[in-house]
Amino acid sequence: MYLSSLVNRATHWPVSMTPAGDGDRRPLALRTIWFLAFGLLTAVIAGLSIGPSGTGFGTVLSYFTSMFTGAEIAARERIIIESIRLPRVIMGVLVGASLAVSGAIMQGLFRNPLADPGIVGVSAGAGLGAITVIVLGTGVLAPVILPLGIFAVPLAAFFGALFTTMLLYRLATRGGQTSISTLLLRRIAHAAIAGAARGILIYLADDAQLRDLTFWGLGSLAGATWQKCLAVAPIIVLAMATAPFLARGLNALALGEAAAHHAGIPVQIFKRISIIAVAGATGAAVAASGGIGFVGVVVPHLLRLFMGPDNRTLLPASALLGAALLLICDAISRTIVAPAELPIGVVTALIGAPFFLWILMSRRGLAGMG
Amino acid sequence: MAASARSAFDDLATQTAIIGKPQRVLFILSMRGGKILASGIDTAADGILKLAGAENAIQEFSGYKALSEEAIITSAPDAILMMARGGDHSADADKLFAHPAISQTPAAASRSLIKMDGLYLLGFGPRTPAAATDLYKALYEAGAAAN
Amino acid sequence: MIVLDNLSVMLGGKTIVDGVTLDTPAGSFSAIVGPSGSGKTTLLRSLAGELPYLGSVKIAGKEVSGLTASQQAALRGVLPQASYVAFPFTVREVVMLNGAASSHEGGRAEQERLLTELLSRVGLKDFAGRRYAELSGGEMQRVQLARVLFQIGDPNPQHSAKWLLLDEPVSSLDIRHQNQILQLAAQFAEAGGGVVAIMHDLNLTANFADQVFMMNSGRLIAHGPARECMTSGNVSRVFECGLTGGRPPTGDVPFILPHSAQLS
Repeated sequence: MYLSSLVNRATHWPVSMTPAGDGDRRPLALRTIWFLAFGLLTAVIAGLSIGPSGTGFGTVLSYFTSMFTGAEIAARERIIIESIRLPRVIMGVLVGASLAVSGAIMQGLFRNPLADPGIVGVSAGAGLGAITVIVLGTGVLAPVILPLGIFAVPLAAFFGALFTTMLLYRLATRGGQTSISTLLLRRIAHAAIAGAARGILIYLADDAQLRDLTFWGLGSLAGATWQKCLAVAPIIVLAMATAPFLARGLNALALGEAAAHHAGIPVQIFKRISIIAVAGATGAAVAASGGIGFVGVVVPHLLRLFMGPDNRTLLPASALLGAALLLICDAISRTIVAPAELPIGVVTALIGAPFFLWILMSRRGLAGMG
Repeated sequence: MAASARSAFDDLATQTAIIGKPQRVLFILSMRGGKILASGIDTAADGILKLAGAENAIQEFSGYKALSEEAIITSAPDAILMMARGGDHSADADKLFAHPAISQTPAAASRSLIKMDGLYLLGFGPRTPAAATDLYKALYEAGAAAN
Repeated sequence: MIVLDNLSVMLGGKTIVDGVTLDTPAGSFSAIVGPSGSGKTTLLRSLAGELPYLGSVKIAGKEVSGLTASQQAALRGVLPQASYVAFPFTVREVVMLNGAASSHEGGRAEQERLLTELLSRVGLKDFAGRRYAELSGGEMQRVQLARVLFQIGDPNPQHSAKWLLLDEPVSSLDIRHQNQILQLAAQFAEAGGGVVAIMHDLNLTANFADQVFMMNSGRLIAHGPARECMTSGNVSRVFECGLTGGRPPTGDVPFILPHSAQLS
């Protein structure tokens, strides 16, 4: 009885969160953004200070102050902070922000609070690109792949993502109108084809390659080097930079494509740009760190419930919360089974799935929002 | 053949019995994608290390798992064992020891990288005594370790 | 001024609007009436720049097909028949969703004032903080009108009229609100703006419209000043059923009553 009333209250919480009397949620939204910015800073410091090697907050502090005082830090600590944790934290921020913002944009674009970048086949395409390289990279495609070194898989994933998205989008657009249901159907078809291709490649893979595939699919921020950060940062930053300009259009789209056109948004162009931005950002993120789920759906959705669906505040807030969340998940993945590492996709799934379930259940309790 | 195998094992056992301080060895299965898949206990790699009189640097988990980079530093292996995949071995060693975490290990200091054919090393068939002996030699005899 | 010259629209191989020529000046309320399938909505959509068309559609002398979306938005606002909002916005957020027209400089305070005023005028005085999704259909429609008015702004800034294109704006409203909304539209026209509304109710049309355009099967069958054009003959022909028009004992606004499903 008690449990069921608890569940009842939890699933009705979104309804009971009635906005303030005059419906102006902007002050709340702005306060939330400040809070999240501070939260992200904390997560960054935590990410730098937590790890199985025992290098702690004190050392991190000395590391940063030593940049001004010129004091000496032990080589080992320096390497740990500079070459292992710092790029990892930066990568976490880039990937987390990009996944969350991409999710928010996708949801605005498809007018569906549960949409995420996977819906246009970004992850499937990225995955296919990656495993093609993993499996064929030492055999048939070796001459092309080997010289690319560590960039081979990320690049392949990125192009796979972009290619699939473009293809899907083109196929689903007839006479200038992009039909969302067609997009979804095409995506299912593509996922099936991609799945078959994966099957073949998995069949061809040897033991070691198989392990690579499995772990890649679950995502990780390990191996985040400065090179990798530099490789994906430009495109992620570029995609994030377009987000504020997309906010107004995404808001207008909430009333439908016709209404957005009436309000002055060049809808077809806008959708194209948004999809490219999302594919670029997500593709780069997935390429850098493998498939990480739930961040794109859960983060924007929660924020929407809390501070309203206005994209002008939702997009920056999503970036901040996504980044912070990913850093926290990464810290967990690095320490919970030390010295081994859990793939971060497992942690985000463990945290995200209950939230996702809660979202689904509370939506059933919300009339007129389905 | 069984007899010759047993005698090979016996020889090896005698040699390993007199080792004072066993070499700590980290077996790396793959470094693809920046993730370092290493062997814990209860694996073929662990088994061959024991036969060769070495100590697996990772005792905390079993099976092949992703190893956190910092843990590589704390596990402080004296040598790194990998499966040979063909290609330029010296280039492999350079790349390996350039890795930030690995560069801080004793293995990097002495540039101790051992590469052996996968099937030979881990197959656990008739060639195993020879493989274990080769590994022992690589670890403990003068001029050991590839470069 | 809105000028349609031999406008034809084809959808899926069928001719939905067939060579319609009409013009309507700003400062008046024009109603488009006709049975379902007569092409009224399609005509409005081409006016709104949503569809490719043959012939010519000009708003304020500019060809619609040559204008960008934002140029069109500066000239006209569109109220569709129904709206679906996918996210949990409040009423206030919906009204201010598309931002304000450039004619409201004046910053936040001015916008707040306008929001309050518009919500009052559509009869939703204290609704700003309510969740849009919880409103009734009629209330939602009025919020949408407030949004369009917020977007459009002043009906006739510096003598360049703005237009309101309305698709059955009062079909889901009760009588009181029907009157309220249509009065708003009429006031917009009086202030110098132009109103083109697809109307469902002939009697409301007779009461509020200055001009009426009657369509059937994609063609313009009859048009003219509402008081003169809405005769029994015209409406029966357009709607293909027996309709009697008359004038009530007081006033000269015609009324239309059905008397038979057949065109006798």
